[in-house]
Amino acid sequence: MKSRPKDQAVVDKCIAKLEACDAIEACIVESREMVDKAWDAMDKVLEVRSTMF
Amino acid sequence: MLNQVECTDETKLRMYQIWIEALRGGHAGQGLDIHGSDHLMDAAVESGDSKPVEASVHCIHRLKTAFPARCLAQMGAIYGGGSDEEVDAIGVFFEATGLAFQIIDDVLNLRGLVKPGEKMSQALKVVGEDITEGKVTAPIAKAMSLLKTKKERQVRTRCVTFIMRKQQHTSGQWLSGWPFPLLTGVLCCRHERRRSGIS
Repeated sequence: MKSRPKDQAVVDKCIAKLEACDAIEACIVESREMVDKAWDAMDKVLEVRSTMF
Repeated sequence: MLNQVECTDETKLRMYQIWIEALRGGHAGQGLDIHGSDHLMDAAVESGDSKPVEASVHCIHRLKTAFPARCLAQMGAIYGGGSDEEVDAIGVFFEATGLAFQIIDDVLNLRGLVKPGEKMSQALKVVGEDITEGKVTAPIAKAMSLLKTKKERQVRTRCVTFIMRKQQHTSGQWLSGWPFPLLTGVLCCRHERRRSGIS
C-alpha cells in the first residue's frame, strides 16, 4: 500500500474495503437524505405560492 | 447574459452580486480542493473520528460546486420575482443538490459509471482514479469512523497520504497563505464564506 497504487489490483482491494465497511453506501444514503430534506423544506415554501394561483 | 436581462437596476445589481459570490466561492473551493484534506488524515487514523475530515471534504465540495449552484438558482429565483424566503429556500435546495452531486461523484469514482448495456471497460469514469491520485474523498473520509481498528485505517490511508505528501512538494506550497483553520471541520460553509469575505 505504500507504493503508488497504479496497480489496479491494489486499487480494487482498497475499493473493496471501502465497500466492506459500508463507507460508500453510507455516502449514498447521506446524499439522498440531504436532497430529500432540502426538497421538503423548499416544497413547503413554494407550496404557499402555488396556492396563490 | 445579464446585460440582456430585462429587470430593474436593483434586481440586476443583486444578481451581479450573487454571481460574483458564486465565482469567489468556486475559486476558493477549487484552491482548497488542490490543497486537499490529507493533513487531517493522521488524526483521523489515530482517533477513528471522521468528522473533521468529512467536514473538510464537504466544505470543499460546497464551495466548489454546491455554493455556485445555489447562487445560480437564486439568481433565477430573483429574476422570477421570488420572495426572500423563496429565494433562500431554492438556494438551500440547490446547495444540497450540489453537495450530494459531488459526494455521488466520489462514489462513482469507486464504483464506476457505465451507460446501460455497456461494460465496465467502457466506463465514463476511470475506476479508482481518486485513489491513484491520492485524493481524500467523501467515502474515504467516512471510512475513518467505520473501520474499527487503527491498523485497518492505516491500510486505507497509506497510499493516499503517501502520494499527497509527494505532490505537496510541488503543488501545495503556493497555498500556504490560505485560511487552513477553516478546514478543521468545526465550521460550516456559511462561516467559511464569511471568513473568506464572501457574504
